[in-house]
Amino acid sequence: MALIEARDLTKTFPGATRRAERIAVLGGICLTVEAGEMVAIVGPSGSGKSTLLYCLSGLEAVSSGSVRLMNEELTQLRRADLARLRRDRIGFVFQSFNLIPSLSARENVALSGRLAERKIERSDVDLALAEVGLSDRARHLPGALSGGQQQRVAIARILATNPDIVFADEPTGSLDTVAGREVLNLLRKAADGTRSVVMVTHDLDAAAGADRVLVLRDGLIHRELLAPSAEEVFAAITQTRSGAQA
Amino acid sequence: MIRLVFADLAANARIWLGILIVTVATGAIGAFSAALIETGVMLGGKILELLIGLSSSVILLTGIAALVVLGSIANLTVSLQQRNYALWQLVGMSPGLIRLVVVSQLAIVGVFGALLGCLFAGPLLQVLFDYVRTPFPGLGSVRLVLGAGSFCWVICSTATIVVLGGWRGARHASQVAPLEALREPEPRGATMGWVRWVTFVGVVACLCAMMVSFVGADVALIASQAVFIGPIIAGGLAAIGPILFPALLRAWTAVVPQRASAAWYLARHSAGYRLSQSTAAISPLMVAIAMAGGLYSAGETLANGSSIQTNAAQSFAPGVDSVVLILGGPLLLSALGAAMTVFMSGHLRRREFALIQSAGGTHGTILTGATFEAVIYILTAAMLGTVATVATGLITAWAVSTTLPGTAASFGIAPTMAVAGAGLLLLLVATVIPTAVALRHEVPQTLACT
Repeated sequence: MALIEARDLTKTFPGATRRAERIAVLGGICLTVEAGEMVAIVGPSGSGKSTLLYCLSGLEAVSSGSVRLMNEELTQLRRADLARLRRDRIGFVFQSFNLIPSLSARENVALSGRLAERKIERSDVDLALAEVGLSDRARHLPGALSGGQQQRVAIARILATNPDIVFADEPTGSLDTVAGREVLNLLRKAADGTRSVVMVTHDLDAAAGADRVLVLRDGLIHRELLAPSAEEVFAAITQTRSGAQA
Repeated sequence: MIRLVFADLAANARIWLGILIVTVATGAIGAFSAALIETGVMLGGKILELLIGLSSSVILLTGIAALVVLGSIANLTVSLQQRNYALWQLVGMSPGLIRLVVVSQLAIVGVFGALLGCLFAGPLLQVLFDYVRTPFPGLGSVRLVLGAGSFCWVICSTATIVVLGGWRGARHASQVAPLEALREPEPRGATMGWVRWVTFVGVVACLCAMMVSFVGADVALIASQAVFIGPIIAGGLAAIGPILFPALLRAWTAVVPQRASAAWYLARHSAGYRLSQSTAAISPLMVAIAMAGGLYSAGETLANGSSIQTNAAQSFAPGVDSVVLILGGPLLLSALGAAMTVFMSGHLRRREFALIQSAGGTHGTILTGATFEAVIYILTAAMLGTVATVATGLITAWAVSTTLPGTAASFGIAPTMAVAGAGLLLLLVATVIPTAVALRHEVPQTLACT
């Protein structure tokens, strides 16, 4: 079952001045993401990776085309409905500063439940924190946690709220190798039979851990690789970059 | 260094604008007080007595308000730029130089703001004086004068208050750990420096001395001093604000069930977390409430005493012009201080709002949370202000009872509520508008700006 379906998705941004032409960042993307699939989006800087992720998640409005998330057409949803969808069925992991600074790790994990006024059992929250190895940091504020620990709290939030889709934007971008590996393993585990993970990354090893890798260039999917090795991802990106330069 | 001082002021204009506006108001009120004194000294005789009497209450009350408000807002100004100071250390600036830059910035803003205030007040001095002198027929033909000497005195004293207010913040700025530039800074716990303890002890001593002087004193003496009880108590509470405000805020907000609403939950945590902002918002509101409530509490209690003395019902009903003269300055400073506090720090929370949206929070939840935060500030300030107001009524009643037994205390509840209500409206405007503006930014763009 496809959890995400995008058809002819385009996104443009205003030019530098009012009269300048709009800048096309995504130019007609078509893709599907199946349940239980982990998809990595890679490509050179400025190729539109993060914009695609935000458009697929409903955080960014698309300029044209269609995005269906779990059979709901995002372009037709009102703002409150989008918020409800994010709250109930989507999880996010950003590159850094994922957590509300005034809430403890435990409170951050339970935040989506609070916003939905839906009780998340304390035992579920504690279990999620235990799964990411942070049981002893439950009462700490984000300022007292390392970058890797903050990312793990963000993943614990996903485990506790059990969303259908997880969107991760450079989740290991600000972490060292060991912490990055831990976070990737947790994300990999999060993509199970019913949950999908869509991840933007510059990390070749991280991309190689995905079921499918989409290589973006100039706002279009240039290559699609199935369960590739890090070397294959590197070759695809290099080829894409040289193609762009040519 | 000079380039850095001015470039940083320009780069963080929104934050510095808050303290500048409060400084302009302080300068304008200072100019009015200085003009009263200078005119009195120039004319001498009965007019000098009248004008010194008028200016002393304005200076004392405005002085207390200015110390509390400018002190809080100067500290907040520095605290909001903590990350910048950490970055400065990362590029090799010494802590001493950072402190010098911050103090220079405070001094520049203090001088410039006071100068603007004096210039702004200049054409309005006579108009304001004509309005507030109505109850004093002896001042009928007096023209106010503000010479260069008074001008300089106002600028220097206002700038000094700003620098002293931010002195502690400047010291903290030089001690920020460089790593705080790379992560979300952990808020400092509530700390009480020796200056605060000394101020608090001084205030308690002053209050005790005042009460001793009241025993068996003439009612006229009590009447001349009772109006200062509320502001003095408020000053004492503000001195121990860093430990008192968060404790009170957390205690009373815990009474409301956290499950009441997600917006309340977020607002409560946010108000308890941002101690610099909470203290800077609560202090001026508390002072405003204590001053208005204290004035009426003392006045009504004294009227109760007069009723016993004259065997005829007396009431305390000062004219609007008298209230404007006595409380106008402090209330203006307090209102501006509270509003600017919220305005200054509002834009720094865009990322937090974006994260809440990405977690499924609606605009309504975030706006309601901002509203609740304003309510938390005002109710905390009202509780503290009411303590000062009630204490004023009780102390005045006790003092008057030593010569007129049976004098009942009054508590000026209506003015307390009126000032708290006006403060709430002002804070709502200062909170909700910046929040609504912040919500207009796209979530991805906000999240991209780390």
